[in-house]
Amino acid sequence: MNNFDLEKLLRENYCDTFDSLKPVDKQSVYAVYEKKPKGKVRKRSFYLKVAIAIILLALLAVGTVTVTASNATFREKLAERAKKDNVNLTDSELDELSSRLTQRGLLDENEILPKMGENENGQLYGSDLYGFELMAVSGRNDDIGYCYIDEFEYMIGDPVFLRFTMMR
Amino acid sequence: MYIEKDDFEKTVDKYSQTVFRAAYACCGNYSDAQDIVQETFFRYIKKHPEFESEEHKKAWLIRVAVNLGKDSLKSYWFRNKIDLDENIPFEEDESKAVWESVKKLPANYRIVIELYYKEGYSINEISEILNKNKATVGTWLARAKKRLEKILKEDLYE
Repeated sequence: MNNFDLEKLLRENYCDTFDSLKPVDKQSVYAVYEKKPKGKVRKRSFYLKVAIAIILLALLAVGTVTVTASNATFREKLAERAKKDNVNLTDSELDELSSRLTQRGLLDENEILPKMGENENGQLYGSDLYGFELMAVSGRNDDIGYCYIDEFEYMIGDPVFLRFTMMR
Repeated sequence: MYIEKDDFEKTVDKYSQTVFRAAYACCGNYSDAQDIVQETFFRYIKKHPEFESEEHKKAWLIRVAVNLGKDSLKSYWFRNKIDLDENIPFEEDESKAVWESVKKLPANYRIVIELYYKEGYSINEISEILNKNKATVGTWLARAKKRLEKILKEDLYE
């Protein structure tokens, strides 16, 4: 046990194994060159570009008005939710959270916001919609705990089987 | 800007193995990593971005490979297939144990381990490549090492 040196194992054994992997097939990568887009990039007409820009600007203007109105509504709803769940959110946290929820497309003002909470270490948790660092999960035995959301971002398949509670 | 065939091949010679390692760390198997390398270099020709330095070019290629790797992890096809045995010739039991343990980690941890230990990037540099906060990368590295320590102590000493 005393000889255990993780740094050494990673710097030597792990790196050496990478070197012993079959090398990448360079010929197939060279062949990619032949697939490259041929000739000069096709230029769209000037008028078409102007028309697209005008449409986009108009959509952006409409969107900004809608989002601003929704942000205000969400901010109030969030403040209400936090108060109900005994979570102390600062003004800046409320602003950040409401714009995050708006960006996620929760624009329906009748949307019921999921429950949130604050654990003993002062870390916020709740539905993954909120984007907190922690989310609440319940296991097969119905015990409730917390998991780091970033660990789920890259998760493949269903290795642990966790039933997520929306805590509504 | 147009990339000449010779320049393209020189870039492939120089960086394909690095790109391959990043892709492999992400998706964990040879054939997907090979596909990602091809797609990464295809995007390199298609976008032909201007680089400030060779380091910048290398970091750009790694970032594209990692993003493609992340996308492949989410695909239905990837989640529903069985990996083929890579037949890696391990010289020591320790090497096999370390390799297998790293493969058990979530992909984000594997990528950070690969970039930190194999490519020699600092946490600052990795945070720029992955477009993540420095603290997040630091946390990923620390958690990865903690998990590896636990797994390896069990595998090697018990």
